[in-house]
Amino acid sequence: MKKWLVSIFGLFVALFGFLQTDAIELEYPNHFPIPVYDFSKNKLTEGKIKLGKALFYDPILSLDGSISCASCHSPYNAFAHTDHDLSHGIDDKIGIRNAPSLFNLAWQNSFMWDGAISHLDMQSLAPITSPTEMGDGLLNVISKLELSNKYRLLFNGAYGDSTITGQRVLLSISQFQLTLVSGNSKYDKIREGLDTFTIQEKKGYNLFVANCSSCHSEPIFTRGDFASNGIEIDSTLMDYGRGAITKVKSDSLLFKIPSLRNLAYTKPYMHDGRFEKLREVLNHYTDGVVNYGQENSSNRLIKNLELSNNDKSDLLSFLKTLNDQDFVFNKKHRER
Amino acid sequence: MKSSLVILFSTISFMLSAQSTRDVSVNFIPVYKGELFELNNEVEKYSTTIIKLKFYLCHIGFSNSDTEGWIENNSYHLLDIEEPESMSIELQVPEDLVADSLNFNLGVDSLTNVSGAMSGDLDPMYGMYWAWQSGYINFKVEGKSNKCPARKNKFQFHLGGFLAPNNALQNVSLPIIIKDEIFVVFDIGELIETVDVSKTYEIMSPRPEAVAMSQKVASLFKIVE
Repeated sequence: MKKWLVSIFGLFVALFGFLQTDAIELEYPNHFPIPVYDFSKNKLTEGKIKLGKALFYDPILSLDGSISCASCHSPYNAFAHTDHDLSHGIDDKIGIRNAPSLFNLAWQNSFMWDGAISHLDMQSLAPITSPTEMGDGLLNVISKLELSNKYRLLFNGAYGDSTITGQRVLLSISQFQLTLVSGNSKYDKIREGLDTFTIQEKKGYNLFVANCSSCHSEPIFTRGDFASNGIEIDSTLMDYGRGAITKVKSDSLLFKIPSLRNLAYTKPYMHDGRFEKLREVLNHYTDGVVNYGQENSSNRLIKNLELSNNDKSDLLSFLKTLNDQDFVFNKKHRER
Repeated sequence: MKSSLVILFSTISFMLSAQSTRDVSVNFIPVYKGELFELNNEVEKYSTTIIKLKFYLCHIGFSNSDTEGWIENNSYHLLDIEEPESMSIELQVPEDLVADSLNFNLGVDSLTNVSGAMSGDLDPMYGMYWAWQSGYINFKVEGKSNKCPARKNKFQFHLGGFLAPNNALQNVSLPIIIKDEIFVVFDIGELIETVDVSKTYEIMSPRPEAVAMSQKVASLFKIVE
């Protein structure tokens, strides 16, 4: 009798293991392009996603165990940090940039406001080791994880053995982040023929196409590279963005073009979180554009846009159609 | 039935693997101005202490002016003088290989730099990857010198960068006679004593100075007969 139970249990474990390691496809809307992330080198599996999610929500990644990835990338804020202009780290240290929202990362091939990171897998290494963020090192993180029974089981479920390596930590965190797909806003439903714009939203959409879409291109709402929208340099931060990475003069003051999805959940706005309200952002575009003597180009706005107050209201009405409540309230993305 | 198949396959694979290769060991010996030195011990004559010395050596192989030569598969080695066994690279080369030069890259190629999280010697946990921006550190040397004005007299050179115009990767080619044990010395003192650590004591990001110093490092490798 007992033997019988053991073998059933064994079968169950084997089956469970099989399901956990079976490669799964990323689900995304039909109107999205093919992802740029190379899944062939890091095939999604339930076990790896589960491990990545546990790591994402675990303060064990920080030196003093005080903050996790989710501290600054909260699921309730489309994985941004509402009401904080600059990122927060251990010991109340403050960074120099606004923590960006996290979604549709499978369609991005550079990361950080200055594009310093060229691959999603290496992105999480930056906050883990930055002295103003989690302040730890990958080797130390691994030695902490090795002491945890929970992680021995999770690594075993993900990789078939409980060996913990830097590569496995990074690939798993990527896996969880790759599943954060936001593609179920009103806009997406309209694209799929399941809904229609109101008259005001339609007016706003037309204004968006004419004034904004060259950088914030559909359907991801960013063309994924760098631009200057003419915001004045903050004299307390002196942040030159992309230029500081490439050391090329024409890249000075360019920043990553953020997606316009889920703006209702991700205030404040801009790389340094200087604007609290979307209306302020639009006012910047019509009144605040600064030209530091550079030429007009496809990645540099050097003069104000012309939009009336009514136009701005129409634009805001359209931008609301990009809020994806299903994404923000998706329980699958939460800690438990 | 099954066991006989296993025996058959293992015999075939043994025959394939045993097919005319020879073992060649390439040993790297760091010296300071011609003298052997120990990590964390002062080289008295120069009042200099080496604290860290690690570098990537990739795509190691042999060639001859007339033949295509041979390059090790999946060839990525992290050499760290704290780990003496890492300083010797064991190779299995074709028995009949004719070669007159030993070739390798000092550093990690650009494709590998943009291919995500890697395993083995390329695992970013070894601290040879810049975290704040993408890219492997090809060569790292840290130490102390009483000439160095930095905090605790420490100099730190982290050389890397895979994007033009600051691609720091170097090809090294050394004339050799192929044999079972090849010894390569590199004189780290030659580098530290020529850079003048009273003025240059910190290179920590991809830039022209990192490329220039990488070229200097590449010239330090010499075959010992």
